[in-house]
Amino acid sequence: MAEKLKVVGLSKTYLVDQGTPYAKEIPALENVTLTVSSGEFVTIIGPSGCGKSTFLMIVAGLIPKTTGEIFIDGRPVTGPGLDRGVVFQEFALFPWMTVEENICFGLEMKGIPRKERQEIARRYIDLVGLRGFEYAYPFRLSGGMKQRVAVARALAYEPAVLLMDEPFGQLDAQTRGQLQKMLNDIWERTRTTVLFVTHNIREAIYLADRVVVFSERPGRVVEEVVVDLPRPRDPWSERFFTYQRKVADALGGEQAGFF
Amino acid sequence: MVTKSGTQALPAPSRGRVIGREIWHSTRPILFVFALWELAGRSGIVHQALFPPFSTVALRLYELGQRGLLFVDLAWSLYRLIVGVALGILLGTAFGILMGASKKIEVWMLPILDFFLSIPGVAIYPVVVLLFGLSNQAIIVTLAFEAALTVMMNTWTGVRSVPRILIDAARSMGASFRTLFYRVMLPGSLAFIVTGYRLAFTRAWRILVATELMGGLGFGLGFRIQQGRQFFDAALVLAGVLVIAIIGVITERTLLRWVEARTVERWGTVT
Ligand SMILES: Nc1ncnc2c1ncn2[C@@H]1O[C@H](COP(=O)(O)OP(=O)(O)O)[C@@H](O)[C@H]1O
Ligand SMILES: [Mg+2]
Repeated sequence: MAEKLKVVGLSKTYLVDQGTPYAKEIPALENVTLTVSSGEFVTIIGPSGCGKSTFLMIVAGLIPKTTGEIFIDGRPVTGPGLDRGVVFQEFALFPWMTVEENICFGLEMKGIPRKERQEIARRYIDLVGLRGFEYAYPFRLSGGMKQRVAVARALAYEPAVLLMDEPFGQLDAQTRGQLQKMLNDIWERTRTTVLFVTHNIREAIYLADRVVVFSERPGRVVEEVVVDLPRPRDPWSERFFTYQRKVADALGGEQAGFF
Repeated sequence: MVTKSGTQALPAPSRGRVIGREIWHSTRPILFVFALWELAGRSGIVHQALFPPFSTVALRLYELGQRGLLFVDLAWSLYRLIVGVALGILLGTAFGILMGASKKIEVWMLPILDFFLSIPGVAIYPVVVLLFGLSNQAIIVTLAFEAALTVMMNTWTGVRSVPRILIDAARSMGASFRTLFYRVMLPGSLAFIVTGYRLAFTRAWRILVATELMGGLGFGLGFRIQQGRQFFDAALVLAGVLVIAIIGVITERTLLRWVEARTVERWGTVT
């Protein structure tokens, strides 16, 4: 399969309190190399504060890297762009735009004419099951609905890679499960390339073709687990459980708090 | 009416009734103050020529209205206010957003802004008069100056309050600085901006009356009050003050509330 996203030797060191006596360097990522194939669903899992968000935001072009290279379809990434769609943990919907206007924003940036924008937005509103909420402002929506809108917004302009940073982390267990199912359904239909960050082992295995395990800060790749299970996955199956154990062990097991 | 869950729904009051009640609730206390004024005026504690009761002032106001002079004064005052504040709002909003959006601009402008903000608007007026003479322009420039500073301060605060994540979301979709400015920073700071406009109106209104009181110009509410004082016409003075209060309340209650109800309240960014 063709390489879609390629990250080579990526490192990031945050400089804090520059120009004060407390100036400090915080190494967040150390020499991360990762390749995602076209149409592959990859999840990154790691302990809290290990640099997962930092990694994803650098790939998104939203924060600068210290060293390393990032390529999408062989072209180096220098800043943010429409070839990547980002879904944030905090939803990040524009409160002053309706559901439809939020979804149209990216399409407008892409230069799609108004009439077409609306048709596309409607299609994606249907896809995430929000028909009837086109004209609602975000503050009237529940957390789960907001994240559905954010997913639709990022998918609508058809980026080459979808980047998701713990998108379901703020949701209650049931809503979270519903959105995981929805994302799996959408992915099976569209086969978009996805890089998905989480700290939840079951979520990682339920969704991924491959789980990439990060170490404690500074984040390094310590293991890659290819999940060879038919979709949609049965989270109560023996094999699912075996994968869960394997990922938990890579994260440090029961001692590290993973059980 | 019985709803699905079987609970009794209260009959919804009509829109007219709701508005009527709102007006009644906000005018009731004022009417009470007028009544007290009337009683105090008639009680004879202070001579009626110095502190006439409300009814006398209302009558005087009616006379002024009949002669048309009231409307000429009002028109002049409002003209100065609107032109001054409009100029100030334009400049203040633009510079406020630039200052909030760019660290470089902020570093330069903030100390200057702080410096000028520490000068009361009325103290600027004599300086402006040196340049423009006792004229309409002098008043308008003073008002524009005060309004611009007020709006700038609020707009700057507003832009900095726009969540970082929303800027990132827009950037992730390839938004240019121009798009960020109009589609994210401006609407995102609107609650603060409108508060700034409101403050600008209030402050400009006060300065307007103060500068008019300093005299020199033939028309304006402040000028008329000043004239009343010179001729010991207490009813005229109070009539002028009354009009000033009414105009102040109307701008505050209608214009700016209208803007808020259509924007930030609809978006749920303020409650
Ligand atoms: N802007 C920043 N400045 C300084 N340190 C930061 C900044 N952002 C994150 N960090 C630090 O980098 C580390 C990785 O953070 P993050 O990528 O958010 O971790 P994760 O998403 O895996 O929980 C943390 O120790 C965090 O404190
Ligand atoms: Mg994170």
